[in-house]
Order: sequence, then C-alpha cells, then structure tokens
Amino acid sequence: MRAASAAPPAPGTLRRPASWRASVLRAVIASAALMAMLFAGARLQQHAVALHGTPLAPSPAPAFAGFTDTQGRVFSWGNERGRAVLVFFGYTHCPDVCPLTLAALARSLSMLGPLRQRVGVVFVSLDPARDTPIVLRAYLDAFIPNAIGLRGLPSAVAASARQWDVTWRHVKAAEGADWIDHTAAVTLVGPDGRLLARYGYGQLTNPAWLAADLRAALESR
Amino acid sequence: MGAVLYAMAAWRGRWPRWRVAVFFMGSALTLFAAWGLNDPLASMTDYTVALMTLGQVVSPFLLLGFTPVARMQWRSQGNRWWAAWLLDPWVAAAVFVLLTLGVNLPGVFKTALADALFSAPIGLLLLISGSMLWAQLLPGSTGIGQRWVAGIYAWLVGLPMMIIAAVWVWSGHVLYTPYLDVLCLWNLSPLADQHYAGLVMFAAGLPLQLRAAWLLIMPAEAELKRPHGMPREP
Repeated sequence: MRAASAAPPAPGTLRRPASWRASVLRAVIASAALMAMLFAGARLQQHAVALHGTPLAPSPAPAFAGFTDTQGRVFSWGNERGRAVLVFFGYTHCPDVCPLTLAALARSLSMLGPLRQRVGVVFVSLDPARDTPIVLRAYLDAFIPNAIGLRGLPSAVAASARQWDVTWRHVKAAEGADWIDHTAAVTLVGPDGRLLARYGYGQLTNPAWLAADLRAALESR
Repeated sequence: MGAVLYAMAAWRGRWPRWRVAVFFMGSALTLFAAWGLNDPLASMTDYTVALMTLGQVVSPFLLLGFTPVARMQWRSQGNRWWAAWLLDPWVAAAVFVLLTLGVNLPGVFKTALADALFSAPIGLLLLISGSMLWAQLLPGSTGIGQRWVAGIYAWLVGLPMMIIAAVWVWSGHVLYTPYLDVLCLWNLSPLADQHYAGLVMFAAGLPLQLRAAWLLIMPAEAELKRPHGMPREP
C-alpha cells in the first residue's frame, strides 16, 4: 500500500461528494438487480419456499415393500401419480397424537374443494398385531373415509419406518396398556412421486397452511 | 489467498498489530459463521447468530483490518469503477435495507430466513452488504459528505433490522412455520427460539446504533487528529 499525503476523510469530512443523481441511479439499478436475483432464487426454489412444512430433499418416495391395504391389495406409488399424498405412521390405539393428526388432516382436506379428489392419505400402522384390516378400516373411516390403511409384518414396518425417518418404541403403561411413542410427522409426497415437505403437529394446527401447500403442490404441476 | 495478500500488505505498510489481529479475528469468525449456516433449520437462534456474525461483526472487523489510508486507496483511479458501486452510500443503503427486509420478513420474495437452501448465498450477501454499509461509517472509505448525515444514515439504515428484531422478540406466535417441526437446540420451543433469535438481532444491531450515536455526538477531530496507519512524512 502506498502512503497518501493527506489525512483520509472521516465520515462527514469528505471534500468532494459524488453527484447524488448518479448515486441514486446506481442505487436504483443495484436494487433492481438484487430484487431480480431474489425473485429468480424464489422461482428456482418454488416448491421448497412456498410450503409451510419443513422442506425435504426431492427424492423419490420410498416404496412400501411387504405392505397391503385393508382390502389386501399391494400399494404402488405408480397408481398415485398426479395426486398429492400425505403419509402418516401411527396406530389405532393411539390415545392422542394419531386421532388429533388425522382430524387435522381432515380439516385441511375439507378446504380443498374439487382438488380434494387429487389428494390421497396413507396411514401406515405401527401396530399390525392389533390393527387388523377391519379395525384399521373402521378407524380411518371415522376420520378420512378414503384413506389407505397399510399393514405389514413387523420387519416390513421397521424397514419402512427407517426409510421414512420415523422412530418409535413400545411403552408399557402402568395400567397395562401397550402404547407406542412415535414420530408424529406427516410427509407430503408430490404428484411426481417425490418427497416435498414434512409437517409436525404444530404445523397442522392451522388447517389453511396444509391446504395451501396441497394446492401449491397440485397447481404447480 | 486473501489472507496472504492481506498479510503482505500489512507487513509492507507496517500496519498496527491490533488491525492485523482484528482482520484475522474477522476471518476466523467467517469460518465460524459458515459452520453455523450448515444446518439453518436446526435452530433459528443458531442461524441468526451465523447471519448476524457475517453481516454485523465480520464485516466491520475485516474493514478495520485496513488502515484509513489503505481504505482511501480503494477510491483511487484504478478502482474507480467498482468503488463507484461498492463504496457508494446510496447503493450501500439500498442494498442493505432491501436485503434486510427481503431475507428476514416471511413471504417477501419467498426467500424467508427459514429456507435452508438459501443459507449460503444469503450469508454471502449479508457479508457483502454489511461491508458496504460499514465502509460508509469508517474513515477513508466513506462517501458521505456531512458528519451528522453519516450518523442519521447509520441510524436509519439500521432501523429496519431493529424493527424486525422487535417483531421477533415480541411476537406471540412462530412466524416461520418450518421451525414448528424442528427439534431446536438447547430444548427451546420454536417460539422461545424465535424470541432469542430476535435478541441476537438486537445485539447485532447495537454496534451500528452506537456508531451512529458516535458520529452524531463526537466531533470529527476525534477521528482526524491521529488517523491510524498514517505513515510519517518522508
């Protein structure tokens, strides 16, 4: 660095202020460029940023290998193409979070109007021993009649839960009840069969949030 | 590479050791903040600490690493083009305010703070805009003609940040829904996490407010009598 012969200007001591008109013009251009950059970024990340849920990397939704629905049919993601699907792991004897979550989903779905036909709900049982097809069907019909209930062997449940980042453990309550502590998150799968976002119960308390996200997922297609 | 160039310039110019220390402290804090940007959805407080460190701590530290004379050289003939943009007070104010509002208010440009995918570019933009702003408030690099204007400038430009911090601190509900499903660090609820993030932003805005007060209250001679880094006359 070369030495300067004069003292540097402190704020407020500049001897030759630049033309303010040129400065304003530059500020306008810089602002426009910054706004364009932010808008372009928003467009690039449209799916992730528009959602109220926690964004997920858009990887293909894991298959439910070894599961059948309450009619004994094998579930295939290929049949769900073009539909948004909400996936939730729970069990019918759950005393709190499962019924609350299903009720919250039902409220959001009721806000969709005709788009409701393009949204599926998949409930995966963590308790296949007690959740027989009949029990599971009756339980889901009480909340979301056309929801798909999936059952599998405990090994298939364990493998699937791992793939969907769901953890759980059996808890023996004092009064002899068998409860399951489990991840209470709903995963939204987009119409292209890729993961979009995940919702904890706190993100489902306002039904308009999930409804808006489902609309965004379906209408952006 | 930048550190090596800086060290060579500091050695040749015989810059005060405290300036060199402050510059390298700023560089170290940059690495710390970059680490904090790695998982922005882990905690809003954690993420805000990283962003504010870059925008309001690292930027003045890096600038203070240069002597006022060195900063004055940035406006030399050879640097005229980029200095006209990066060292212009109007451009600095516009970019800083726009970025503060665009990044921190949910829904504006859809690039809310909670978006993990934007964390690295947002951090870089905050570092650049913070450096542009602080350059206007330090001797040598300033482009503001009146001292009291510089004080009011600093206060006004920092105001949106303080307002957003106040909203975060006193809001009764979580403003960024992606944080509702996050197990935050330190076992904080999402709302408490947001309140602490607001406090972090308040704290980060204080140096800017103090600098504004200094420019408004203290006479210019306080900075001009003994300009740091001024070489002796040959």
